[in-house]
Amino acid sequence: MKVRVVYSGRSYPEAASLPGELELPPGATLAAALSMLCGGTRSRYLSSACLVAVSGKHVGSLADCQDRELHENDEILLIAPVAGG
Amino acid sequence: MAPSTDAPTVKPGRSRGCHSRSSMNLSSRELERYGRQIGPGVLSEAAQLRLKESTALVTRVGGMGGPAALMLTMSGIGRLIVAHGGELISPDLNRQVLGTEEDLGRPRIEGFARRLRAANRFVEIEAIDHEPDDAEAAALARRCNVLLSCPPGFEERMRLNRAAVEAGIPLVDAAQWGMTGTLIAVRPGETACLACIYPETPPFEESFPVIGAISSAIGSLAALEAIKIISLTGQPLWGKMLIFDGYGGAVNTIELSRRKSCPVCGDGRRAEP
Repeated sequence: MKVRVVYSGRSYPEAASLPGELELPPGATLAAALSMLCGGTRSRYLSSACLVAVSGKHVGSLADCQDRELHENDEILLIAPVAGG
Repeated sequence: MAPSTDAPTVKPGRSRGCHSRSSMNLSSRELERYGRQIGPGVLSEAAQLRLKESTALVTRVGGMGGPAALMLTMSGIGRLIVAHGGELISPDLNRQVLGTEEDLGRPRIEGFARRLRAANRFVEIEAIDHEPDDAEAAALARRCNVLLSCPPGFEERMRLNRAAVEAGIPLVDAAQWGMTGTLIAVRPGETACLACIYPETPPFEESFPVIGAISSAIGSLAALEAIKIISLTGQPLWGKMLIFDGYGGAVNTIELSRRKSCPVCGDGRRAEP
Protein backbone atom coordinates (compact mmCIF):
# COMPACT_ATOMS: atom_id res chain seq x y z
CA MET A 1 0.00 0.00 0.00
CA LYS A 2 1.06 3.60 -0.51
CA VAL A 3 1.01 6.40 2.03
CA ARG A 4 1.78 10.05 1.29
CA VAL A 5 4.32 12.00 3.33
CA VAL A 6 4.18 15.80 3.68
CA TYR A 7 6.89 17.86 5.35
CA SER A 8 6.10 21.26 6.78
CA GLY A 9 7.29 23.73 9.34
CA ARG A 10 10.96 24.50 9.20
CA SER A 11 11.95 21.27 7.44
CA TYR A 12 10.58 22.27 4.04
CA PRO A 13 13.97 23.25 2.55
CA GLU A 14 15.15 19.67 3.07
CA ALA A 15 11.92 18.07 1.93
CA ALA A 16 13.09 17.76 -1.65
CA SER A 17 15.60 15.12 -0.56
CA LEU A 18 13.02 13.10 1.39
CA PRO A 19 10.43 10.71 -0.01
CA GLY A 20 6.97 12.08 -0.59
CA GLU A 21 5.46 8.61 -0.72
CA LEU A 22 6.17 5.30 0.98
CA GLU A 23 5.39 1.83 -0.31
CA LEU A 24 4.51 -0.29 2.72
CA PRO A 25 3.21 -3.82 3.22
CA PRO A 26 -0.47 -4.12 4.16
CA GLY A 27 -0.96 -3.66 7.89
CA ALA A 28 2.22 -1.63 8.30
CA THR A 29 2.37 0.64 11.31
CA LEU A 30 3.20 4.29 11.74
CA ALA A 31 6.31 3.30 13.71
CA ALA A 32 7.57 1.29 10.74
CA ALA A 33 6.93 4.18 8.38
CA LEU A 34 8.69 6.66 10.64
CA SER A 35 11.61 4.31 10.96
CA MET A 36 11.94 4.29 7.17
CA LEU A 37 11.65 8.08 7.04
CA CYS A 38 14.04 8.89 9.84
CA GLY A 39 16.64 6.19 9.41
CA GLY A 40 20.23 6.79 8.38
CA THR A 41 21.28 10.23 7.23
CA ARG A 42 17.69 11.45 7.02
CA SER A 43 17.50 11.78 10.78
CA ARG A 44 19.51 15.01 10.66
CA TYR A 45 16.68 16.67 8.77
CA LEU A 46 13.95 15.66 11.17
CA SER A 47 14.38 16.57 14.82
CA SER A 48 12.72 14.49 17.51
CA ALA A 49 10.48 17.49 18.26
CA CYS A 50 8.76 17.17 14.86
CA LEU A 51 5.00 16.90 15.28
CA VAL A 52 3.40 13.91 13.60
CA ALA A 53 -0.12 13.82 12.20
CA VAL A 54 -1.82 10.98 10.35
CA SER A 55 -4.59 11.96 7.96
CA GLY A 56 -5.27 15.21 9.81
CA LYS A 57 -4.97 13.95 13.38
CA HIS A 58 -2.06 14.86 15.63
CA VAL A 59 -0.58 11.72 17.21
CA GLY A 60 2.46 13.16 19.02
CA SER A 61 6.02 13.89 18.04
CA LEU A 62 8.79 11.84 16.48
CA ALA A 63 10.15 11.35 20.00
CA ASP A 64 6.88 10.02 21.36
CA CYS A 65 3.84 9.28 19.24
CA GLN A 66 0.96 6.85 19.42
CA ASP A 67 1.58 3.95 17.07
CA ARG A 68 -1.22 2.82 14.80
CA GLU A 69 -1.89 0.77 11.73
CA LEU A 70 -1.70 2.73 8.52
CA HIS A 71 -4.09 2.39 5.61
CA GLU A 72 -3.88 2.90 1.88
CA ASN A 73 -3.76 6.63 1.01
CA ASP A 74 -3.10 7.77 4.57
CA GLU A 75 -1.12 10.98 4.77
CA ILE A 76 1.70 11.38 7.27
CA LEU A 77 2.37 15.04 8.02
CA LEU A 78 5.64 15.94 9.73
CA ILE A 79 5.78 19.46 11.13
CA ALA A 80 9.14 20.69 12.32
CA PRO A 81 8.24 23.19 15.08
CA VAL A 82 8.47 26.89 14.31
CA ALA A 83 8.55 29.70 16.86
CA GLY A 84 9.63 32.82 15.00
CA GLY A 85 7.81 36.05 15.74
CA MET B 1 -22.48 33.88 8.82
CA ALA B 2 -24.14 32.02 11.62
CA PRO B 3 -22.65 32.50 15.07
CA SER B 4 -20.65 29.53 16.27
CA THR B 5 -22.58 27.12 18.43
CA ASP B 6 -19.25 26.16 19.93
CA ALA B 7 -19.34 28.71 22.73
CA PRO B 8 -16.05 29.49 24.43
CA THR B 9 -15.38 28.95 28.10
CA VAL B 10 -14.85 32.61 28.84
CA LYS B 11 -17.42 35.24 28.12
CA PRO B 12 -15.79 37.25 25.36
CA GLY B 13 -16.82 40.84 25.48
CA ARG B 14 -17.11 40.97 29.22
CA SER B 15 -15.09 43.64 30.89
CA ARG B 16 -12.10 42.40 32.84
CA GLY B 17 -9.93 44.02 35.47
CA CYS B 18 -9.77 47.78 35.39
CA HIS B 19 -11.27 47.95 31.95
CA SER B 20 -14.84 48.59 33.00
CA ARG B 21 -17.12 49.33 30.06
CA SER B 22 -20.61 48.77 31.31
CA SER B 23 -23.58 50.14 29.35
CA MET B 24 -21.37 50.69 26.33
CA ASN B 25 -22.69 51.48 22.90
CA LEU B 26 -21.24 52.12 19.47
CA SER B 27 -21.26 55.79 18.57
CA SER B 28 -22.41 56.99 15.17
CA ARG B 29 -18.78 57.69 14.28
CA GLU B 30 -17.77 54.18 15.25
CA LEU B 31 -20.62 52.74 13.22
CA GLU B 32 -19.39 54.80 10.28
CA ARG B 33 -15.79 53.64 10.81
CA TYR B 34 -16.71 49.96 10.99
CA GLY B 35 -19.52 50.03 8.44
CA ARG B 36 -17.68 47.77 5.97
CA GLN B 37 -17.18 45.03 8.56
CA ILE B 38 -20.68 45.08 10.01
CA GLY B 39 -23.06 43.04 7.92
CA PRO B 40 -23.68 39.65 6.35
CA GLY B 41 -20.64 37.39 6.39
CA VAL B 42 -18.68 39.65 8.71
CA LEU B 43 -19.71 40.96 12.16
CA SER B 44 -23.09 41.74 13.62
CA GLU B 45 -23.48 45.04 15.44
CA ALA B 46 -23.58 43.08 18.69
CA ALA B 47 -20.32 41.37 17.71
CA GLN B 48 -18.73 44.74 16.98
CA LEU B 49 -19.84 45.91 20.41
CA ARG B 50 -18.27 42.81 21.97
CA LEU B 51 -15.01 43.80 20.32
CA LYS B 52 -15.28 47.28 21.80
CA GLU B 53 -15.91 45.81 25.23
CA SER B 54 -12.84 43.58 25.03
CA THR B 55 -9.18 43.75 25.91
CA ALA B 56 -6.41 41.82 24.14
CA LEU B 57 -2.73 41.42 24.88
CA VAL B 58 -0.29 41.05 21.98
CA THR B 59 3.28 40.17 22.78
CA ARG B 60 5.51 40.79 20.98
CA VAL B 61 4.52 43.24 18.25
CA GLY B 62 7.19 42.55 15.65
CA GLY B 63 6.82 40.64 12.38
CA MET B 64 3.63 38.83 13.37
CA GLY B 65 2.46 40.68 16.46
CA GLY B 66 2.71 44.03 14.65
CA PRO B 67 0.21 43.16 11.93
CA ALA B 68 -1.92 41.36 14.51
CA ALA B 69 -1.98 44.46 16.72
CA LEU B 70 -2.69 46.73 13.76
CA MET B 71 -5.59 44.58 12.55
CA LEU B 72 -7.07 44.35 16.04
CA THR B 73 -6.76 48.12 16.41
CA MET B 74 -8.34 48.81 13.04
CA SER B 75 -11.11 46.31 13.78
CA GLY B 76 -12.18 48.32 16.81
CA ILE B 77 -11.14 46.33 19.85
CA GLY B 78 -11.69 48.40 23.01
CA ARG B 79 -8.28 48.15 24.59
CA LEU B 80 -5.09 46.68 23.22
CA ILE B 81 -2.08 45.98 25.40
CA VAL B 82 1.15 45.59 23.45
CA ALA B 83 4.50 44.50 24.86
CA HIS B 84 7.89 44.61 23.18
CA GLY B 85 11.32 45.54 24.50
CA GLY B 86 14.49 46.80 22.83
CA GLU B 87 15.31 49.33 20.18
CA LEU B 88 14.37 49.18 16.51
CA ILE B 89 17.24 48.04 14.28
CA SER B 90 17.54 48.03 10.52
CA PRO B 91 17.01 44.25 10.01
CA ASP B 92 13.63 44.60 11.77
CA LEU B 93 12.29 46.68 8.90
CA ASN B 94 11.90 43.77 6.48
CA ARG B 95 8.84 42.70 8.50
CA GLN B 96 8.01 44.86 11.52
CA VAL B 97 5.24 46.87 9.89
CA LEU B 98 4.77 49.19 12.87
CA GLY B 99 8.35 50.45 12.54
CA THR B 100 9.61 53.27 10.35
CA GLU B 101 13.01 54.60 9.24
CA GLU B 102 12.54 57.50 11.66
CA ASP B 103 12.20 55.10 14.58
CA LEU B 104 15.55 53.35 14.02
CA GLY B 105 17.64 53.36 17.18
CA ARG B 106 14.69 54.26 19.38
CA PRO B 107 12.69 52.02 21.72
CA ARG B 108 10.45 49.95 19.50
CA ILE B 109 7.35 50.24 21.63
CA GLU B 110 7.21 54.06 21.47
CA GLY B 111 6.91 54.19 17.71
CA PHE B 112 4.75 51.09 17.56
CA ALA B 113 2.23 52.50 20.05
CA ARG B 114 2.20 55.84 18.22
CA ARG B 115 1.44 54.08 14.95
CA LEU B 116 -1.37 52.08 16.53
CA ARG B 117 -2.92 55.14 18.16
CA ALA B 118 -2.76 56.95 14.82
CA ALA B 119 -4.64 54.09 13.17
CA ASN B 120 -7.77 54.31 15.30
CA ARG B 121 -8.78 57.03 17.74
CA PHE B 122 -11.47 54.79 19.24
CA VAL B 123 -9.02 52.24 20.65
CA GLU B 124 -7.07 52.54 23.89
CA ILE B 125 -3.47 51.43 23.43
CA GLU B 126 -1.46 50.42 26.48
CA ALA B 127 2.25 50.01 25.75
CA ILE B 128 4.71 47.95 27.79
CA ASP B 129 8.39 48.45 26.99
CA HIS B 130 9.58 44.97 27.90
CA GLU B 131 8.60 41.33 27.64
CA PRO B 132 6.48 40.33 30.65
CA ASP B 133 7.92 37.78 33.06
CA ASP B 134 5.82 34.99 34.56
CA ALA B 135 4.13 37.13 37.20
CA GLU B 136 3.43 40.05 34.88
CA ALA B 137 2.13 37.79 32.12
CA ALA B 138 -0.25 36.15 34.60
CA ALA B 139 -1.45 39.55 35.86
CA LEU B 140 -1.95 40.85 32.32
CA ALA B 141 -3.84 37.74 31.27
CA ARG B 142 -6.33 38.28 34.09
CA ARG B 143 -7.17 41.68 32.57
CA CYS B 144 -7.72 40.34 29.07
CA ASN B 145 -10.31 38.48 27.04
CA VAL B 146 -7.75 36.94 24.70
CA LEU B 147 -3.99 36.66 24.52
CA LEU B 148 -2.00 36.67 21.27
CA SER B 149 1.37 34.97 21.51
CA CYS B 150 3.77 36.24 18.83
CA PRO B 151 7.28 36.09 20.38
CA PRO B 152 10.42 34.84 18.63
CA GLY B 153 10.96 31.66 20.64
CA PHE B 154 9.38 28.83 22.57
CA GLU B 155 10.26 29.98 26.09
CA GLU B 156 8.05 33.08 25.87
CA ARG B 157 5.31 31.12 24.11
CA MET B 158 5.21 28.63 26.96
CA ARG B 159 5.06 31.47 29.48
CA LEU B 160 2.09 33.05 27.67
CA ASN B 161 0.44 29.64 27.38
CA ARG B 162 0.72 29.14 31.16
CA ALA B 163 -0.66 32.62 31.79
CA ALA B 164 -3.64 32.07 29.51
CA VAL B 165 -4.46 28.65 30.94
CA GLU B 166 -4.17 29.92 34.52
CA ALA B 167 -6.45 32.89 33.73
CA GLY B 168 -8.85 30.71 31.76
CA ILE B 169 -8.72 32.92 28.67
CA PRO B 170 -8.20 31.87 25.06
CA LEU B 171 -4.71 31.91 23.58
CA VAL B 172 -3.91 32.43 19.92
CA ASP B 173 -0.37 31.32 19.14
CA ALA B 174 1.20 32.47 15.87
CA ALA B 175 4.63 31.27 14.79
CA GLN B 176 6.73 31.24 11.64
CA TRP B 177 10.03 30.27 10.08
CA GLY B 178 11.19 31.20 6.59
CA MET B 179 8.12 31.05 4.37
CA THR B 180 6.04 28.86 6.64
CA GLY B 181 3.85 29.59 9.63
CA THR B 182 1.52 27.98 12.15
CA LEU B 183 -1.54 29.15 14.02
CA ILE B 184 -3.17 27.53 17.07
CA ALA B 185 -6.21 28.55 19.12
CA VAL B 186 -6.26 27.22 22.68
CA ARG B 187 -9.43 27.03 24.77
CA PRO B 188 -8.01 26.31 28.23
CA GLY B 189 -9.15 23.09 29.80
CA GLU B 190 -10.95 21.97 26.68
CA THR B 191 -8.46 21.89 23.83
CA ALA B 192 -4.74 21.14 23.59
CA CYS B 193 -2.47 23.83 25.00
CA LEU B 194 1.09 24.44 23.82
CA ALA B 195 2.49 22.26 26.59
CA CYS B 196 0.29 19.38 25.43
CA ILE B 197 1.81 19.65 21.98
CA TYR B 198 5.40 20.26 23.03
CA PRO B 199 6.24 18.12 26.10
CA GLU B 200 9.85 19.23 25.70
CA THR B 201 10.55 22.78 24.60
CA PRO B 202 11.94 22.41 21.06
CA PRO B 203 15.21 24.12 20.19
CA PHE B 204 14.84 27.23 18.07
CA GLU B 205 17.46 29.65 16.83
CA GLU B 206 17.30 33.34 17.72
CA SER B 207 18.13 34.54 14.19
CA PHE B 208 15.48 32.62 12.30
CA PRO B 209 14.92 33.37 8.62
CA VAL B 210 11.80 35.38 7.84
CA ILE B 211 10.25 37.30 5.01
CA GLY B 212 7.73 39.97 5.95
CA ALA B 213 4.98 38.71 3.67
CA ILE B 214 4.65 35.46 5.66
CA SER B 215 4.88 37.00 9.12
CA SER B 216 2.27 39.61 8.14
CA ALA B 217 -0.03 36.92 6.77
CA ILE B 218 0.17 34.75 9.88
CA GLY B 219 -0.12 37.78 12.17
CA SER B 220 -3.24 38.95 10.34
CA LEU B 221 -4.75 35.47 10.62
CA ALA B 222 -3.98 35.51 14.35
CA ALA B 223 -5.91 38.79 14.63
CA LEU B 224 -8.80 37.23 12.72
CA GLU B 225 -8.90 34.32 15.18
CA ALA B 226 -8.91 36.75 18.12
CA ILE B 227 -11.70 38.81 16.52
CA LYS B 228 -13.77 35.67 15.96
CA ILE B 229 -13.19 34.48 19.51
CA ILE B 230 -14.07 37.69 21.33
CA SER B 231 -16.93 38.68 19.03
CA LEU B 232 -18.45 35.16 19.04
CA THR B 233 -18.39 35.03 15.27
CA GLY B 234 -17.61 32.11 12.98
CA GLN B 235 -15.68 29.01 13.97
CA PRO B 236 -12.34 29.60 15.68
CA LEU B 237 -9.50 27.14 15.20
CA TRP B 238 -10.15 25.61 18.62
CA GLY B 239 -7.92 22.59 19.13
CA LYS B 240 -6.43 22.80 15.67
CA MET B 241 -3.16 23.83 14.12
CA LEU B 242 -3.25 25.60 10.79
CA ILE B 243 0.00 25.18 8.90
CA PHE B 244 0.62 27.58 6.04
CA ASP B 245 3.45 26.47 3.76
CA GLY B 246 4.08 29.56 1.69
CA TYR B 247 7.09 27.98 0.00
CA GLY B 248 5.12 25.05 -1.39
CA GLY B 249 1.79 26.85 -1.68
CA ALA B 250 -0.05 24.47 0.63
CA VAL B 251 -2.28 24.78 3.68
CA ASN B 252 -2.94 21.99 6.17
CA THR B 253 -5.06 21.85 9.28
CA ILE B 254 -4.66 19.13 11.89
CA GLU B 255 -6.65 18.25 14.98
CA LEU B 256 -4.45 18.54 18.04
CA SER B 257 -4.56 16.05 20.91
CA ARG B 258 -4.64 17.01 24.56
CA ARG B 259 -2.09 15.28 26.76
CA LYS B 260 -3.56 13.84 29.95
CA SER B 261 -0.33 14.34 31.86
CA CYS B 262 0.16 17.93 30.62
CA PRO B 263 1.83 19.95 33.40
CA VAL B 264 -0.08 23.10 32.42
CA CYS B 265 -3.65 21.99 31.65
CA GLY B 266 -3.74 18.30 32.54
CA ASP B 267 -3.23 15.95 35.45
CA GLY B 268 0.41 17.00 35.69
CA ARG B 269 -0.50 20.37 37.15
CA ARG B 270 0.97 21.07 40.52
CA ALA B 271 -1.54 21.22 43.31
CA GLU B 272 -2.61 24.70 44.36
CA PRO B 273 -0.82 25.80 47.56
